Amino acid sequence: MIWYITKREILDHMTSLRFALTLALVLTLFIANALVFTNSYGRRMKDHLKEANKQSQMLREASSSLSALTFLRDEGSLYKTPSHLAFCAEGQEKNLPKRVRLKSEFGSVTGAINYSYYTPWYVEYPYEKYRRNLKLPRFAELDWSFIIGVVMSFVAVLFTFDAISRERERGTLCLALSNPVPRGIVLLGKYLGALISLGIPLILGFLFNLIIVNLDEGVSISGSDWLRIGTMVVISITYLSLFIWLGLFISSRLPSSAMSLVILLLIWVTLVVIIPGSMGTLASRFYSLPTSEEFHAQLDAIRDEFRESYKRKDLMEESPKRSYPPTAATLKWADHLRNYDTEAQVRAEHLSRQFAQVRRVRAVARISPTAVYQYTLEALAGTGFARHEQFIAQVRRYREEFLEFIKNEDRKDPNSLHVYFLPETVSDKPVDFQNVPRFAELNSFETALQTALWDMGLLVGLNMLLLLAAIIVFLRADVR
Amino acid sequence: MLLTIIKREFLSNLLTFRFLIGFVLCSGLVVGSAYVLTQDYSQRLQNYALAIQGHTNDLREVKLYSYLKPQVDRKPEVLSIFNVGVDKTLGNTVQIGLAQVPAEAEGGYTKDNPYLDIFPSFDLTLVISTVMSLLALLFVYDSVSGERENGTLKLVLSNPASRSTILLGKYLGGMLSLLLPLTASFIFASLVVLTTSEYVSFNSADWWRIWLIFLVSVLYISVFFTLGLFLSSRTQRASTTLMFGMFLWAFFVVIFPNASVFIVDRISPIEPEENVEAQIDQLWQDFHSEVARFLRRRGVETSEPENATPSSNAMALYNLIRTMPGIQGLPSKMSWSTGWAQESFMFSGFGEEARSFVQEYVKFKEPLRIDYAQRAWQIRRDYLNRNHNRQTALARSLSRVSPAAIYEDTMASLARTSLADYEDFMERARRYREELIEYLRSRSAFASAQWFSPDSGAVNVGDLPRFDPPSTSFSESLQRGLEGIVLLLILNVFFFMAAYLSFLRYDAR
Repeated sequence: MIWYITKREILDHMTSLRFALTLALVLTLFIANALVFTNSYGRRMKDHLKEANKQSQMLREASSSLSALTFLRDEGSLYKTPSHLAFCAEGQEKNLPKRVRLKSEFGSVTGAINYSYYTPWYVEYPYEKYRRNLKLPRFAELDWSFIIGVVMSFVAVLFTFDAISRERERGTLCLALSNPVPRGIVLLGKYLGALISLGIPLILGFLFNLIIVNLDEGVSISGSDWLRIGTMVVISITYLSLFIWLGLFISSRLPSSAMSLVILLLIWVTLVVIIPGSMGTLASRFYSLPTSEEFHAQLDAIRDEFRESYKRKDLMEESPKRSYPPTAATLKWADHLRNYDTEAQVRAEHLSRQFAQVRRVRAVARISPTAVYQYTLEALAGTGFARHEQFIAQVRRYREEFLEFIKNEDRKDPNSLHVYFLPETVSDKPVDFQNVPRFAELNSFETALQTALWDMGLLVGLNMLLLLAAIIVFLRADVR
Repeated sequence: MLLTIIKREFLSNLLTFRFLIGFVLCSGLVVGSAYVLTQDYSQRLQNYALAIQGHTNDLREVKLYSYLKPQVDRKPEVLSIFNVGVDKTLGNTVQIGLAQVPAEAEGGYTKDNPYLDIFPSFDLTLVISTVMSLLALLFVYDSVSGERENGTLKLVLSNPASRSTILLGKYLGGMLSLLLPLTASFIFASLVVLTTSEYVSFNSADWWRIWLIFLVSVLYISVFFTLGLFLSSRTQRASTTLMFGMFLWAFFVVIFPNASVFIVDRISPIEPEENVEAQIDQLWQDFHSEVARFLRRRGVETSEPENATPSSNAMALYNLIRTMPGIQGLPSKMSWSTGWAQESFMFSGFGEEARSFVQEYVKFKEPLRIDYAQRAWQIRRDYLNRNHNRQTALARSLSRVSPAAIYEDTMASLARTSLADYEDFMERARRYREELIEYLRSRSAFASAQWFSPDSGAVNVGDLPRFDPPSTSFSESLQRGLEGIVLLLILNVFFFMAAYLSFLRYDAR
């Protein structure tokens, strides 16, 4: 029986004007998305590879000595790989930095001794917007999270606002219910009918989009990418299903189509347009942060303290020497420079607090299912803020790994002083470039799924909630 | 007859559910938004006041000309509550120094946590442009086709009223009923803004602007209303009108404003900054080389002029000065802070010979620096024109297909938060730099020992002219917004004409 009802609903929808308009609109958007993406992706990937190669080259040259690997004379950078699946969810990548800087701090002291000191390289997190024209008005990217999250949810509202009320007005609802069919089945049939009718332009859109993206030689979609895409398709259907239940709920609750339309449209505008848009303005209320002046004052204080600390008599007695066994001066200087890590730590901590504020705002934004959907797609596509946090965490792990590598290589050299870390004490020997640990970002499907898990659960939960609401209302609705 | 029709349309709209819900929800959204935006604005205003105070104090602490680098700030616009424009997205502070002609402002709303830039901000323009245009379509979609379905259209037409009168009556009656939620929203919003924060106040010019903003909003809503009338008189059933109306709304208000900028951003990208940065770096390298050659001619041992850096020149100078006799009883001190183009330095406790040497140095170097800064500015200005300004102008032209984008643009001009207002500020900042240079020249600062030496006392820069922020007049803003207003008017007339022609031949049976 349910398939009978579903088939009827589907045919009803497919012969309607809104289906034709939806098909045209959605296909155009998906095709535009694919075309624009393939046009710009090649360039982005090329730029990224160029930068990554430059970094690789620098590392190769520095492998001439272990010391050069530790105390970088030139600044290095580590770059975030652009995601293949950025056309699914751009994730505000244009407003996030693309790289971190690696640098060694150096300076010199003059006085009783003249000594230039170096620290092993540490990570800096400059906030730079790469190739951004800030005068351009702010815009939403035409990615899947916009096409489906904004446009198709609007269409879902248009498909279902009169699902119950139209039949009630026509008089066919009481006819249908006078049959030996439970009300739940009728509702379910309507739901499936709307879902499948919406699903047709959606799937066609995905198909066209993925075909165009695949045809382009610059992009290569691997097996794990298909898993991600598959998950995104399922999540998109879940998201649209949410709006269908909402439409069915409001439609059975209110007596006329016109009323349910107004209510649904205003709910949609609030959830999809207004709430996500207001997050930036409300952000500072959710989590307080030291101002940038306070932060820089803190850094300056640390630097000044560090500079003053050189005046310690015991440090200025003698400068470190490359001689075995290590002199007391060498040990003292190594010990002193280890404290330089304080600045790197303060920077890292400040960054963590900034990230915490952003996370808090994102948490509040989850009032809107569109934001939840967007975050899910971002996690699966490997873009956006969550991915950026993972990138930073991996960079920090890489640094630890690198310093361990330095220590291990140093231990192999019998001539080295084995005191960490001064240019005088670290081995001078060349290093096999193949052994040097290279930064490779890991972003497996499992981690992406894990990041997205809570949001996916939220979408499913909302579905359940609205399903229940719709059933409860429909079961007791007056159908005359 | 017209009045009767107007009254009828007005009352029949008023007594519907959609009017009540639309009124309540729209007002609620506007009031809520106005409250949030006012809090945000007063916070920004307080930050601005603090910044101004800080910068004035910094100026008072200046003891030497070489440290005279005043900082100017852009005041947050009070009408940014209505349209945020570039008030929060672009920087709000500029440092005025000899080494750089101000090109872009720094800092900005999110300087404490720039990662917040991933979140958009909103303003009342967003609320009005989405909600009220939707309401307009919802009020008008069944105006002709719905009446036809009800059977009342032929009854109305059987009266001795011309079709044009009836259409005009529908338009005026409907617009009047739409004006109620709009007016109420504006009044509530203004009340909320004025009462919830003691920092916010509107002067008479601001009230004129708000009044014009209201009128432009009416014009904008009317575009959608006439569009709806046109659609309604082209279709036989109200549900058809509704679908067309909704899809057109989604396209013109939601999709197109984003898609147009998105496409321009991707298809017509800007050149990477690296090329320009490299050019400017090289320019300053030439500057340092020229300075090094100057020093060499005077017998200072510098590194090779081709590889001269600001620190190498500084060290060379210092090494020479150290050999010269100092002032009896005074410890000699030097402090130097230098970037690639900027510089401030202080020598104290050095004798006459050293001082006059450094004076010669400054007399040569600083005017040369100003010259190089001008050349760097030309390079950068050309780059910005070829890229950022070109791309922005293209995006703006393309987006004008959408009435929502035209509306946003016009509102920005009226609220003084448009790009043009930002450029006014930057132009004023550049002019202030000229004033600073003139001030220094008139005090013969470049030839003075007080450029670098505190030994003869600190300089008194209290008579430095203060920064005069630009204040766009009402008529200037109106002029900037005129294009948008005219476009909206044309759209109105076009849709109304189309509706009229369609309605003339409409089959009302």
